[in-house]
Amino acid sequence: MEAAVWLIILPLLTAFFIGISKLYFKKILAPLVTGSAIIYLYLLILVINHSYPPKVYNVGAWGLMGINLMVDPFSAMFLLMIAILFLPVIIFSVKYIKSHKHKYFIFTYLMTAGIAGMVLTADLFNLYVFLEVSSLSSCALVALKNTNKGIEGTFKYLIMSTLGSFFILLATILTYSLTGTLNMAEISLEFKDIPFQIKSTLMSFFVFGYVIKIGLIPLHAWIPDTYEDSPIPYNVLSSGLVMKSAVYALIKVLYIIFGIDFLDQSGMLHIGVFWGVITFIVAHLLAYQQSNLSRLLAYSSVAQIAYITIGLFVGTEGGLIAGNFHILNHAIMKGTLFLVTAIFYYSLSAVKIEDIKGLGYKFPILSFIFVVASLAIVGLPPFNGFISKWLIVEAAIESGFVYAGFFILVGTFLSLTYYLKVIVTLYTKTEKELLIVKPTLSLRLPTIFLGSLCILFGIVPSIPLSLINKIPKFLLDNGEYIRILLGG
Amino acid sequence: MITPGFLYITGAILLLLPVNDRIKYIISFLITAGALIVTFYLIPGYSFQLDFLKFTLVPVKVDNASKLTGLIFAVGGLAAVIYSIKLCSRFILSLIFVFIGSALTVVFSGDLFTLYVFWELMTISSSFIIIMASDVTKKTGYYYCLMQVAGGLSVLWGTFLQYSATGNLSLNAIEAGIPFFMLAVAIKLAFVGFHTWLPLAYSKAPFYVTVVLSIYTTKVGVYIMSILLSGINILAYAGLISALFGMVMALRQNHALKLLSYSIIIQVGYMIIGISIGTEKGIAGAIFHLVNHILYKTVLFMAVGVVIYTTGKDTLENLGIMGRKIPVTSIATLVAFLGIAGVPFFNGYMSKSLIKEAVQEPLLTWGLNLMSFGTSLIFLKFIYYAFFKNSNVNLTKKPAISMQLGLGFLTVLMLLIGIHPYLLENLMNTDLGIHYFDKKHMLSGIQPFLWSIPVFLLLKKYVVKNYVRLLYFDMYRKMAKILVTTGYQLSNYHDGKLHKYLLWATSTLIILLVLLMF
Repeated sequence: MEAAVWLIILPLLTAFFIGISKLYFKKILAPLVTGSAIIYLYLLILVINHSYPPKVYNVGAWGLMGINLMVDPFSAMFLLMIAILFLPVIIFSVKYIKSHKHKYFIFTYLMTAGIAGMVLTADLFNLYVFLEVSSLSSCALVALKNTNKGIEGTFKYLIMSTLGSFFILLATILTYSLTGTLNMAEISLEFKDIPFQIKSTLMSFFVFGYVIKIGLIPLHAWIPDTYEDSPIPYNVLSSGLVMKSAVYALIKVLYIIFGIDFLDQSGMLHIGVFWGVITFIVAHLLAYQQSNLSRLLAYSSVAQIAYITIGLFVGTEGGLIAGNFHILNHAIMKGTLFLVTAIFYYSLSAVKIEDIKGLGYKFPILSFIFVVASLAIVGLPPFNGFISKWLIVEAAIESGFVYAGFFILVGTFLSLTYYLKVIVTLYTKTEKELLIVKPTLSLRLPTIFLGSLCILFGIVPSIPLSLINKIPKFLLDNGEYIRILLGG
Repeated sequence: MITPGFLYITGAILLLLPVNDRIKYIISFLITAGALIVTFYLIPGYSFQLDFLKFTLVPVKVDNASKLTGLIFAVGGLAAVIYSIKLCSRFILSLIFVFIGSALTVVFSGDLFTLYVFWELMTISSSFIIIMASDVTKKTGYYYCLMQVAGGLSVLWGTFLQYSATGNLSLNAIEAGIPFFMLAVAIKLAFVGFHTWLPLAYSKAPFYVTVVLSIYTTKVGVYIMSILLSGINILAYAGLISALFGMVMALRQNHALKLLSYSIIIQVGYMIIGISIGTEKGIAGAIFHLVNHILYKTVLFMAVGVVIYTTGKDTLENLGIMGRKIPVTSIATLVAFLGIAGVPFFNGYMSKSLIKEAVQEPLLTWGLNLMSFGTSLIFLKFIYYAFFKNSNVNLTKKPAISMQLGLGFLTVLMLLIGIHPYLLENLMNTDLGIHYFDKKHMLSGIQPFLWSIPVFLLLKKYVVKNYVRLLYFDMYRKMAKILVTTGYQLSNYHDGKLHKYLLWATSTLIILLVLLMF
């Protein structure tokens, strides 16, 4: 079964054909991108269904020397996220994006190819390559609107992202020179004999590089700048997939290569949890100050990623499940929020919070969805964010990080302060006459779909959890993963 | 098995459908009446289990106390929905249904998880009712929501502590995290110091919203306190202090809604004292008082609502309309007044006597007497404005029939309980062995009321007086200000300069290296 390989090839091919179609037949863009996205969805479901027990694919039959793709539950969860987000965003963008349409879709497909590659590969260098593919196309997408703010954001993004990539590459090279291999399983085996100090240094390079891409405080500063004036559907993918794929890479490197025991000994777990707590407190305080809706959502993303970090760095089975569930939930919730924001921007160029005043009465259903997603992201029941936050706090308390659990609740309160501010503005009547472009069904439908998932996963969390529950097995015990990768 | 809370939430979803007014009335009546019937036929001892995540939840667990509380909640729901059905839009009505439904579910919940979820759902729905009901309540709704969520989060944290200490979520006695549950209950009960949301929300929100909120919000807190935190004797004194504070504040008010709001704080004081005594009589007294309080306070709020509806404002002067033009409201107000003052043969009397009977310490007994006295005094002022003071306010429109129906229904119940107090004992399946109408109880019941009449006449010029509004110190606004200022300084530090970003990045790298290497 080669479907996993096609997960990387299909978006690349689509990107290529979009470029050609621009030259010869411009009209087929919409059917091309949606058709490809639908096929992609089918492939994703196919691969996700066969993710347990994990499977290894040798590309080109080179054995361990060549490129290995591996689908385990952890990567399947990310594929599930792509499956949930990608098609709605593409359908949304067909109508939403007006200028540089072809470029937008080319880069979106390239980015998706990069992300799919990152979550599938079992090779450290390929991980880096795919990371670069996704971050560079992501950079290009930020600059797409060609406005001053957009360009400025892109520049900052490029500098910071390159700094991060530099350290990741450095660490990868050092790993290669130490172990002589780039296959994650082999590295992990070789690493048993490397001295503690060298391993710590390597780890701090990896962590530093990836955390720049993830955006924990104080490495978060580029995130709001890039979100401010980029095409908003891209923000859905950016906060849902690009940032998350960096989390994936970091966790994979830390848990598979270094192993949970080393993380515990070196104190990385404590650093991670503490870092997370600081991050979300500061990010919530900063988010309250924003007047621009996209920036507010960006700071909120930083805070949510911090919750995820806490969950993943608690270092227990419960923590990994909780963190992964929150990754999925955050992608859905933030996606919904961004899509509603995008519709507001599309309909009346609303950028600032005060611009959306009174829209609650003009767009009753969309505003309701916005409220649902905000309450979910704040972590109030009965929505999905509540369940994953509950799991995170429970895991944190169980493994002794009581302070983290307590501060998560404080953070919930802080996040309510600004989301409620937006909601109240949404439902404040205004005298101003508004000129509204009515959003079409292709804009509303993806939004409603994602919004209803917020409620569905809150009431029946067992649907995604049946997949997520299998994740810790291959992360906590890296021996299992190594055996499958080498034996496969 | 259909539970009343579930029924209400189904009703809320049905009301979201685009239906016309007629169907709206039918749905609302069927759901509210149905919930009352279902609650009436719930069998104490029944419980229902559900597997969720890795917990075994008990969404429904019926016992005597919860059945009685649920029953009065369902009665209140029926009356309040009938009362307000003409006034509120379909969407607000749907939110009200969610609110009532979650309050009922909280009462019947058998584990902390369900309790928290529906506790928070109550907060969310009530906040949105406040925010969306009127143009002037946006900030109030914001304030209310933040306060209530702070309370809800303390329940959550208490739940986590309890869970990690005992390993289960059952809703019995709390072992760990008591301070957090206390904080949560204190906010819900509008305990002095945590009370700021109550007068604000109840006086700003439209009156039909206040009627609904006043039935459930504080009472759910009382019920939960009776389960989780009963028998902590020290709290009785705290309840007394809170009640005395409410008394002083209520006497100063010129607006009927605010007066009633502060009077809730006094009445809740009775319940706190009853629960904190912890004996069977004390807790039963508290629950009975909860029932009675819901009846008369709702009637009073409804009556003030009628005044607002007919005259436009809720100043005490406007209450003068009652003496002349709106007979049903006037009778209901009088009955409610005699009930809240604790006059024998009216409903407040029985629960007050019961709590007094349960109290052993002389200080608390005196406190209770003082509270009864203060309550009578406050409501004499209310009655004075309503019936004795000359006023020249005119009706602008007639009260709706539905409003009078809701009002009348509760008044009949009040009279029933007043004349036959054993009704509540029968409903709760207990026999407390107290003779309500013997000489001793009658005397101690009527005394504060009798005293308050001459005192009111003597001190009339101090009591009936327009006090200046106090701009009191609100600690929470100060705290919020500090947080916002901190955030402002932090955001000023983010001036978008790239060299700053790089500086931060470099220092992070150094810190990380230092931390991991050594």
